Amino acid sequence: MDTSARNHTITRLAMAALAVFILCRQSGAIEGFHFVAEQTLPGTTPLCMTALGEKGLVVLDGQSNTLQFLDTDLVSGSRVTIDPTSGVEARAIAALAYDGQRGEILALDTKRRAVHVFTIKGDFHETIALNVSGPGKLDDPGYLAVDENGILYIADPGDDDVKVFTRQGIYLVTMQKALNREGKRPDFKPTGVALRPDGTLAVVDMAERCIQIFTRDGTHRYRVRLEGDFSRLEHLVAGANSEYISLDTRRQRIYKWDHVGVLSTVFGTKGTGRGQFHSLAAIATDNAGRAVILDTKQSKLQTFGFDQPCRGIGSATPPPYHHVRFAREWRPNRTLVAMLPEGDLSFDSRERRLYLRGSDGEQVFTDRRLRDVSAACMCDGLIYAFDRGSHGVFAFRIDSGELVYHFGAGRQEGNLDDVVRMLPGEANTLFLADQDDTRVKIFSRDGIFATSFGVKGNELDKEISHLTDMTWYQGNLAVLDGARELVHIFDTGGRFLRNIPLPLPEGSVDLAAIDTDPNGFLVLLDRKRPRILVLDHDGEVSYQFGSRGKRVFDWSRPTGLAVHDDGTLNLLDDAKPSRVLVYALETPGAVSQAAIAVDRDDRRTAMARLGPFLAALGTGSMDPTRENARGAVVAIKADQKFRNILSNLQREVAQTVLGQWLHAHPGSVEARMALAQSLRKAKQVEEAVLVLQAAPQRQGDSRCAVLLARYKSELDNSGRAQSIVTIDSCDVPRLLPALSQTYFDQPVIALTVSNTGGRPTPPGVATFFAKAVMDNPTETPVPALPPFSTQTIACRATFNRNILTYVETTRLSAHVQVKFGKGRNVVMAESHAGFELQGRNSIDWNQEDMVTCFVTTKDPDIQVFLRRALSAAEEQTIQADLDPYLYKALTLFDAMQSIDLYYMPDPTQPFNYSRLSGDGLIDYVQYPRETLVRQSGDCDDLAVLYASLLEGAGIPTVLVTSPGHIFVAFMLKNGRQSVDALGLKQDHLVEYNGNVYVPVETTLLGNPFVTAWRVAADTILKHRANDKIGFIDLREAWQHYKTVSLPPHDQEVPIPARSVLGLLLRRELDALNLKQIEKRLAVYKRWLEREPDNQSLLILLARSYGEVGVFDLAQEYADRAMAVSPTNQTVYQVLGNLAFMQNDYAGASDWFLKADAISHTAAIQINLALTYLKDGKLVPARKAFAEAKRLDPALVSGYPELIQLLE
Amino acid sequence: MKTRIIVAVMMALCLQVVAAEKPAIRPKSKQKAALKTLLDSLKTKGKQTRKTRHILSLPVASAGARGGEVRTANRFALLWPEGSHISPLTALSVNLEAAGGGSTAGADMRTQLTDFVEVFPEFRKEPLLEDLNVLLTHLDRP
Repeated sequence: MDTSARNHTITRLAMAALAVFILCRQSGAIEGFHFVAEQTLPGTTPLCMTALGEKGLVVLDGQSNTLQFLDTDLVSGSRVTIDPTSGVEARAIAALAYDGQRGEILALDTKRRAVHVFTIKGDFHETIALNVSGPGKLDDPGYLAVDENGILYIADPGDDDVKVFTRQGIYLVTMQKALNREGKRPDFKPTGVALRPDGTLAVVDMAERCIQIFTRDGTHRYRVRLEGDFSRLEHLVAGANSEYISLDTRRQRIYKWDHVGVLSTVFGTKGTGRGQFHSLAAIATDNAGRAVILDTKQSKLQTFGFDQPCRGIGSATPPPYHHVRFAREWRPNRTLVAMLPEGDLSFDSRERRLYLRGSDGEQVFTDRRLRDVSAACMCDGLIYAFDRGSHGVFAFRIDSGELVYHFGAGRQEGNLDDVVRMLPGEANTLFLADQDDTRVKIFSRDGIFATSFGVKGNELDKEISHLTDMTWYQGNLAVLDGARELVHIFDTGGRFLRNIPLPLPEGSVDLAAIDTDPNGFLVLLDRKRPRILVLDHDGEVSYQFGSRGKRVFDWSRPTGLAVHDDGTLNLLDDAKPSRVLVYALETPGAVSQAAIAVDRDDRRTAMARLGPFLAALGTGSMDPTRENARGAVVAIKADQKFRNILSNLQREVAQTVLGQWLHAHPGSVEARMALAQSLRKAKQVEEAVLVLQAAPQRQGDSRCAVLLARYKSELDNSGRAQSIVTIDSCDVPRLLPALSQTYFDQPVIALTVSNTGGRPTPPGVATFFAKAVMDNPTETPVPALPPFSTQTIACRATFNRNILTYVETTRLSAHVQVKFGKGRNVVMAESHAGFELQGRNSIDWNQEDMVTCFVTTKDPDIQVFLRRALSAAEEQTIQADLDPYLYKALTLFDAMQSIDLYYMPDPTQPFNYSRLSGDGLIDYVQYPRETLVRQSGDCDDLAVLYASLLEGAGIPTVLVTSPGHIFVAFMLKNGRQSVDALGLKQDHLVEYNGNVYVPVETTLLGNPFVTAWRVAADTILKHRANDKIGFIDLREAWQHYKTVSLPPHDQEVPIPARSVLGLLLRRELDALNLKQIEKRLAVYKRWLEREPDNQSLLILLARSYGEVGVFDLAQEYADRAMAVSPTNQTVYQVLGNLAFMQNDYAGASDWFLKADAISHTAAIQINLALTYLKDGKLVPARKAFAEAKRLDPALVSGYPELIQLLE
Repeated sequence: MKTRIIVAVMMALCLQVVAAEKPAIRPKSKQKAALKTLLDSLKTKGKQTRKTRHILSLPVASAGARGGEVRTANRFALLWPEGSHISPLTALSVNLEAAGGGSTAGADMRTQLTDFVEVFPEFRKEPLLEDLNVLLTHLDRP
């Protein structure tokens, strides 16, 4: 291929690539959408709606005058009728808006020119009247938006503008397009308003088929041309990424554009189906970024989703720099002369008296020469008042009211004609603005004329046409020239410095007064419109407010103003009667002004405003307050922009302030970005990355993420990255010695390790070593850590037997280390971690399977005990044709009885009242050996011991848990048929995992085995219906929870006595053989057949059946005995005993108390004491036992353990 | 002479046998009186052994009680009312008394007695029951 052909090919390829690029760009602009849901509101005429954030939507129904609430899935919720006394007519409402900050629904009333406020529940709250006259007058308001600060933006298609009001209704400004080159105002048809994330306002302009963007002070910034063939756009939604959605209400279509106006989606036609509309009325976006469309005539809502969700920003807009709030009004009853910080000075011309109304009352100053006081000031304990009548200044002493001296009148030079303002100056001077001869005259404070300046004229810059007012401004004198509409600046020597022109686009003004606010802004009163203008140092109007009207804060004839050091603005409205309106005016402070200057690249102003803050930074320390953090951000921004205005010390202090501020306020994006930028500038890119990485995720705000990606890329490209490993934390939970064998396989120690460097680490190991309870450090492998990453590792630990020597909770410490790499490239970090070791008997019932750790079948003492018991049983000449497991279990149960082991509930810490400690239930469980040695235990101790013996004997065992209780069940070797001969009911056995189990209530030691069996079976039956029975399969649980081995000991473990065991075994077998018992009872039953009402017989049968656990029959006979003689003490006692045996202690105590009421005996008192003890009521148990002892000491002596426990 | 002595001894022995079988040949009324006496004795015995509850083979619940029998490990035993036990002997005597009116009373009573002794083997050696057995054997004879 020759060169020209190659060039040709390259050109063609380039053209093709360009075409593909253009096509892709165009096709990429088309975004998908899909139908999500619809909801019809039958019988309603929905007029408008607004989204309520997470709470869904609210729709205004014009037919029933109600607010209909819907959730985000368009499911109808509550319906609230608008209070008829509020005077709100739904038909007059043009738009709804939601103020998320205050939780209020706002409704724009076109008829009453007002905004009605409803609570989030739909209750009427108040009406904000907006019926002002003049430029703020609403003509045909149609669209409403509200920002986070409660500022209302109302698009008025009737007046072709957008008017802005505060939440109180104070008119601020009208947004209009800027004048064109011909001095005319371009056409503007606002048909929708929405706030953008940066606080600017987007307005649909159908005159130019675009979206106009305005700042909040009313300045038009630019326009976004909109693609598409729409006919009439109405309503606007601006998304978090400045995308827009609007409705074409003529063609019934929905348009979506990106931030530069490129059409991304359009859909909708006329019709009644899905995606078809008849009368589009409103649009809102939900939290998922879907658009909800309201169709009035079809009374229908339809929701559509987009490929790129359009999340409305709600009212999340940054606060404005300026703010005004109306505080109060008051009416002076005399002519007001001056509104001074110390009080208001008024003059009564009839009485020729001057009144100073301060916070501590009113003072009077009088002189017969006073006729018409027009200006005054206060300094050095004196009041200086200028009197037009006598053309002189009167100086009164404030504390005494006496006239000190009088000056000014009759002098040739320095005579005073019509002073409109007096200002105290430096060096004991007084500056007087004489309007008549247009000069500023300077006197000493003792009345001696010094000099004057000012040239009347309107040609030269320094010439004053009409000296209207004056004030101090940045150390100079600002003289308001009402005729030339500018402010002259003179220094204190009278030298002209400059003019501040007031190029107000609205045309002529009538400037009447001037003052300076604490932040150095000039505040002027324009009587014509009327309004207050706030001028920044460039003379730009940065804020304005005020209106003519009949509302409380509207003005009629404003004539004067005064701004005090606390920011209160007093405005004198010379209406009849005159009144003073007091406002709280907030203007940006020095730091905010500096921020504005930095944004405008105005280094001089920025440095001037930041000066004091930079000096404070230079002191080396600063508190992390909000204002200081803001100052640090601005200083760092200025440092970035204007190059090196901060010293190293200042930069470090600013970084420290920001770091501390971010610790308390991690969501502060500005502060985070400034800190990161500052760190990067100091070549600490890795730290900057960490700062940015710690930023919390915020929807729709990717500034930190973008900067982070940039810094990471910089770091990668720099080749200076390294691995820096730190241990962030080592969380060791409460360790339980019983689980010590489990902590290796199931590690619980959480070690958080970070690589704060820009280079990945190699794989490494973490070691944990608690010397007191471990022989060697235990290692855990750690995977490689990527740059700037954090990982939490579950650290293993292998404990030695010493851990089981701690009987009380003890605090221990461990050495923790992480190590990556080998040799010279090793990177490591180490730390110490304190942790709490619980006592060895502690159990956390949140992991109830861990109880298996206590089941020590291989403990030598347990083995000796069970072997002795089983061999003793074999030696007995008892022929028992029983299931072998059942016989062994029965033997072991009796062996436990034979050593005088008994159930001993712990009154302070029983199973069901386990201590709630931290995040778990920590209980105390004895190891089986401990229970044998102590010869007593509560339910968990006895269950654990019995389970250990059973498993030690090779019998598969499970632990059964019911609410607040635990007991044991063991497997039958030969299944169900092996116990059929015993005459037991089928439900006395439990099926578990396909095998048949015998449940045993281990707390019933001392009763026959069969009773323990029946009671346990009854417990299961009772709770199984509620699904409250749990099974802990020991063999399965041991897979996860390893049994621990107790250290050797020298305590003697009791051994079952053969003789006692033999006796007990015979008894057990008898009790088991119910048929035999039935035969024996036959002799009584035969008797009963003839004497069915023989109470003694009935009682005997009740008792006999009760003793073997056949409670249903026992209860039947007891009830019959009761029927024969309802007031028999014996019957009550038997019923009490039966209730007791079925663990119904409350019922038992009731029966015993009834029996006691009939006959006060020691036996009943003992039974009562036992019942109370079982029920955990120690005090009444002791009382009953003491009474029993009093009645029958001999009987009580048979209960040595009770004596020990209750006395 | 030798023969006379032998005859005299034989007669003496015969007389002795006759004398031994004297109750059996008592009239019926006397037998019934003897039965009543025996049954009363049984009741008395039953009352005396009222607290000996192990005969029901259910000793456990009374363990630890006053007059204790088998002392088990249950040191927290409930106390049952004093009057909640009746001796099986009492029950038997009441049942026998009630059965005494019919024509087959003897046989019926003997069956009851046999069953009783079988169920309560601890009473097998009870003298009163042995006497009762003898009496009942004769009671049915014509």
